[in-house]
Amino acid sequence: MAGVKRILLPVTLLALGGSVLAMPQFRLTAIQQLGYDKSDPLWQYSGKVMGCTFCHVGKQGGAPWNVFGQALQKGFAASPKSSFGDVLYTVLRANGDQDGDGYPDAIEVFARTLPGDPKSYPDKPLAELEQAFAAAGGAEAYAVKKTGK
Amino acid sequence: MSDLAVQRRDFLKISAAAAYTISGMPGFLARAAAQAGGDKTLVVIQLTGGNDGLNTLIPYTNPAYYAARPNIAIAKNEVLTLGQGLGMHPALKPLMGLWDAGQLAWMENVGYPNPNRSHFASMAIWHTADPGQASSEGWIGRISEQIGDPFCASNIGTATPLALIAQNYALPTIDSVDNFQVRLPAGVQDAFDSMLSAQRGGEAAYLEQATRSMLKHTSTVQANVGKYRAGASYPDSKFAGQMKDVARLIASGTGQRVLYTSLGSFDTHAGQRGDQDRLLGELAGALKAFYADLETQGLAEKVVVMGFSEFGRRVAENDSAGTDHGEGSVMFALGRGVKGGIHGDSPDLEKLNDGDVIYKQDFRGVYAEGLTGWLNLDARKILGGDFKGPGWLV
Repeated sequence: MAGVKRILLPVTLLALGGSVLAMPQFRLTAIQQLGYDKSDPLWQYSGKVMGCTFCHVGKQGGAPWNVFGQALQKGFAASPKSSFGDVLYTVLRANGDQDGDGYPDAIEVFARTLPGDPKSYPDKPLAELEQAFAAAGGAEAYAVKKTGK
Repeated sequence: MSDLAVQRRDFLKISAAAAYTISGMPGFLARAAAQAGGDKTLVVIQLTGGNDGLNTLIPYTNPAYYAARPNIAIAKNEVLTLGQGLGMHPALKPLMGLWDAGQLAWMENVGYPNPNRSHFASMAIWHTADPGQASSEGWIGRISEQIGDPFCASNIGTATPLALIAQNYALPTIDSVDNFQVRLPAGVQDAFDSMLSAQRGGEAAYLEQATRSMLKHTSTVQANVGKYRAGASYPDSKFAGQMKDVARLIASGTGQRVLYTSLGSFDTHAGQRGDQDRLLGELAGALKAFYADLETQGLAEKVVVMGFSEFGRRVAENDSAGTDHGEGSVMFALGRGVKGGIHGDSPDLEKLNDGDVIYKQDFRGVYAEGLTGWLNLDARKILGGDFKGPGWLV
């Protein structure tokens, strides 16, 4: 019986840890919706896959929000019954450039730079990225995917 | 040693692996029912992530509620009014039939001393029923120890919650009733059959007997589960599928006393209305179907459902049309054994604890009534003390 106990408990605790240490739902949603999960099989446990500075000024999150985070907040204020994913998509689809670095927000997401930080921008020409982005499906690729079971 | 002969340690190892592989089996069924001294089932539903109680059971006559939530409050004309100035979120409309029949109970201002706003810590407190955070075993795990059966409760899901961890073992998790079968690693079956046929003593004999029992009962349960025909139409959602599996296990006569499952995530920091509205709709649709199914199967008298979340959320909305981690919240229960109505007062939104609803009902009192009044168990022994409940059972 002791053998059973020794095997069952660690396996169970591993599973328990995985379920309770996950990041907040809105962040999980954003990572999957924008395809950042594909770059790291352990994305659910990594704070680096999509850092807090994606929307916040500080690396620990919280106030203040950067300009991209503020655009999301305006989206929530305009449409308070919408889900986080729908507001995120609406902001990206608007083709704005919140941080004014010359690269639209959706292109920055595609290039994996920060849409709310003017010091963070892609190292490729905009035209080249726009072409690749369109070929990859454009902003439509960031729409909320309806899932059943 | 012949090819078929296996050393004791190997037998223990493979048996343990088998026991883990088939840990979804509610084995020892007859023994569980007999030792538990009852045939009633408690279904526990965990709303993971911290469900916002104020937008679930809404104090729609309180101006402070609307002042605190200019963007995400539920409009008065949308609230499903229940009385006492409280009403349900409109997404819970599928539950109105149960409310009208007096089979749905809400418990207000539920929490525990020294509230913790960490998901991990607060969930552990609800799971262990120990706000001191000293216990490493769950309250349902302790039920299994009191009954004396490691298969008297199961989780329907993917990972065993702390609530189902006992001192020396974990209660089973079933991810799919359809896959509810014995599965051994490839190439092990023949050797395992041979081992089961050998004469053994001591620990090995115990494992052999336990394994045989699980195999036998697995077959029985599989046969009964196969005969199950849903008595209601379930919505097309993952949670509804989980509730259907709960109904299948109950209908198949497993004799389990507690079945546990989860819905989430209710961690609505941003865009709460979209996410919570959808989740509450999923919850209500699945519960309505589940209860209708039990009615059709003739099992409604034997089952009550109790739902909780690890904490509520702050009274004031944040800048992202969401709410952050709070303290006191609501619990719910439904079934024929439930005393329908609202237990407790509407939260005092003028008197808060650092922006949070102050709890009045210790959740262990709610557990205690379920343990004593429904499962006929010694709540004091399981919870480590006496806790007064709101009187949610008939």
